[in-house]
Amino acid sequence: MVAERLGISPQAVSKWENDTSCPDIMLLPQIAKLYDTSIDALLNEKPQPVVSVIPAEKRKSTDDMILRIIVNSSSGDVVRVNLPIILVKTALEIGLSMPQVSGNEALQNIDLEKVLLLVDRGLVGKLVEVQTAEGDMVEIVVE
Amino acid sequence: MRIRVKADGHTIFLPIPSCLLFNPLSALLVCKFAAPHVAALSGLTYAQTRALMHGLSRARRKLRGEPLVDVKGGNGEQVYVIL
Repeated sequence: MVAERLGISPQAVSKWENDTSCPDIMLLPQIAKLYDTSIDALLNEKPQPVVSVIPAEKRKSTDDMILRIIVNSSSGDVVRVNLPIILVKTALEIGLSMPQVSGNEALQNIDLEKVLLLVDRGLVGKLVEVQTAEGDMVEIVVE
Repeated sequence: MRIRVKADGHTIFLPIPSCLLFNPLSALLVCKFAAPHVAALSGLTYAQTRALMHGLSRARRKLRGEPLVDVKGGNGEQVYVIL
């Protein structure tokens, strides 16, 4: 799908995913547009999202937003879970809790409904940052 | 769904057709046989499983090729799950 949208071969995308090659610099604007991000964000290894409030007239539908859960464990493992808000809403409707949705017990006291309420009110960026006693860092970022 | 595992210099790529995952029979199998053995899914009914699969199916369109889960182990192992 990505290859089709960029007009390149699936093999080329596969090479990017496997870290055996990088996209041509001329493709960066198209890739940034495809993922609804900026070229700066693509080039920065660790983007630092800030919390901001989007005015009602500039907000996109919450169903098009993604809730990213990033866990940096003290042992060096990095886990990223990208959950479209639409999936989070479904999970809440059927009664799943945060640890079940995210797979991380460190988030057991996070009220997902309140997070979604913040998103509905236009808040985006890093909404939650938790450091556990074991030294794991857990972040929830809404984009 | 595509699952890619990289470990010890080997890459395992497992493409699974979405139609095999997101259908009523799979939902029945998940809630009857998998859910009782997976803590995160315990108590999930057939209707809830169907709703979750429907949500995953819709989420697939929103992620547009981005991984649902991306794990990079401290020892270099990598696991990607792309819906």
